[in-house]
Amino acid sequence: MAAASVASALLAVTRKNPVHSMLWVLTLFLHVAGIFLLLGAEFLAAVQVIVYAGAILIFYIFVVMLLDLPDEEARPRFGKHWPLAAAVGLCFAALAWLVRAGTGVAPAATRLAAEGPPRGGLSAIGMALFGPFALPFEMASLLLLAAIVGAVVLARRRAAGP
Amino acid sequence: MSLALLVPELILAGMALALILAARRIQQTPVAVAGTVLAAMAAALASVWVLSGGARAGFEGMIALDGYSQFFKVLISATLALAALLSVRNLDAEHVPRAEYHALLLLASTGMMLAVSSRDLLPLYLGLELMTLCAYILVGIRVERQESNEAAIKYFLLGSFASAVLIYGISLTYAVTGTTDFAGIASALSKHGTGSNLLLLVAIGLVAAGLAFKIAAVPMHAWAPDAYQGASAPVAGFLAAGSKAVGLAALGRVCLAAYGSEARVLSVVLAGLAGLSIVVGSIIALSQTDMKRLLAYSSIAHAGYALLGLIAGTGDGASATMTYAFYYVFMTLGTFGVVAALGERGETLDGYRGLAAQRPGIALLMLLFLMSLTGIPPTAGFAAKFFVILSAVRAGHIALAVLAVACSVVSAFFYMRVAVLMYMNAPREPAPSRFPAAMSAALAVAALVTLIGGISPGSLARWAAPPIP
Repeated sequence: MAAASVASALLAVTRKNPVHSMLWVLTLFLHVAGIFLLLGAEFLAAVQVIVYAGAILIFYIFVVMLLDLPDEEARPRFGKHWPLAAAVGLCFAALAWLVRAGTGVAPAATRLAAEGPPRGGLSAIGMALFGPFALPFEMASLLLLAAIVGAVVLARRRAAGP
Repeated sequence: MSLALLVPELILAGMALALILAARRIQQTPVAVAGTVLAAMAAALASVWVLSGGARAGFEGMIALDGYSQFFKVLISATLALAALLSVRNLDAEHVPRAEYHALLLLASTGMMLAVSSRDLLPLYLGLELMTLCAYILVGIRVERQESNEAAIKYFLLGSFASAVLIYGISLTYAVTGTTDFAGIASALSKHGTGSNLLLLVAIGLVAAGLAFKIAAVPMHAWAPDAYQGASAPVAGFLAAGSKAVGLAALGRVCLAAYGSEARVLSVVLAGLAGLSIVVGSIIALSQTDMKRLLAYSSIAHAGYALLGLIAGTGDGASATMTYAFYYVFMTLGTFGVVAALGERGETLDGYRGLAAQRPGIALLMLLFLMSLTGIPPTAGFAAKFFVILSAVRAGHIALAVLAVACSVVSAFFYMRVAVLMYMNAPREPAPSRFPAAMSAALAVAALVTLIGGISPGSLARWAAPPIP
């Protein structure tokens, strides 16, 4: 699963045709959902499929279709800084590996592992969201409100303008 | 009931919601301005009042109520009120929806308040995001203007990148310590010992970089000149003052309360940020001809000065930075206020030619703010700079202190160039029209604080309480 998601991510970045890239991103999302499922996080897997694969990807495809496709295809796929970007990506992958290997990790992290497998079920997430994490949850809703107001303000004035 | 801890935030968010709901009915600027200023005053009073019950924490320890958060909440309320008063004329001139504009200002301030009182990385991040998200929209709210759109999209892209950096640092911190709570992080780190851990170093570096973006410290400064130039002057002032104060508050609390045991690493990172910001900001400002870009580079240099206090990693150093942030808010809002008051004329340096002959009062105010930004004695800027440089010297960073003083002299060139243009040149443009009473009031308040801070610099010292680790 993990290997397949890395492979589809690589393919998504390297394909010349943006629509092909999008389809590879779709397979990436589905594989990530599969990983969540294997970890026992059914709710996250469902959200991954519905929100990311379902909604966000459709937005991407809309944007790709609204932009000029042939023009995009004609240009080289990468800017000249791609080795730098790849190096940074590899660095972060190495960091993730370090986290997993537990190099010099403080005792608290082992305590977390001792708590047993992560609980990703719907009721566990619900209890966490409205229990200890109620405040961040409400803050996120305020954030979304600001985003909605902002989108309306920017879009409406543009329509009214010249 | 821990909801009582959040009364100031609730007041601001409630007023924002009321403005949004009544948006259709609010066609006149004064209603929205009055609502915003009243909410800001109520929030300031409330933040003083809730602390009278003593310092405490709530929401599973996520929100702290202490002198530190109170100080910054009052400062944020003042920023909000002044910015709302200063934007009176711009709103009338541009076709900006009044209710939404003020609602966004209020929501941004709510995010700021939540960020300064967070004792957990999660609400800290969300509060900062709420602030930045509103800021992107406020920068681009003059949608008929090309430069405003361009500034907003640049700010948005760089800001998203910085947010990603910050959240990556937070997730690495969680990976290392297993918690996002400041006290939990500190205890995990102290148990772990002082041996350097690569992951931890990267996490600290990323969090510091993400927060450095909010205060526009070099090398995370690239957004500031473009965003300030594209935004209207009051919004630019709100960003310069509010974003910087909140970024400094967050950095101060994170450095002292969470990563305190890694003070050695932090002081190297912060000293690097401070030195670079002071030098780059002061030198690039010399060649600017656009007033808002000049002030942007000056704000980058000031971010560096303010960081000098945090390098020491002590409570006294944090107090120096708090004092700096306080006075900086008033002098920078005052300067941007003058720019806003002059309208189109205030945008370029040439617009200031002969201002003293036409409007001696406004020229005198501008001179006062410029002197304060430079750090010339009878103003608050001198006291603020004195405290942070003293703190750097005490921490043993003599070279950095010398650099700061030298760059302060360099900065006198570009600030005083404006003064020379105002006083020693003949006017070229017609005199600016009178400005609304609200703007005059805001400018008077800013000038008063700048003067009082210069005359009795110690008046804030008792109030500027460092965060309790």
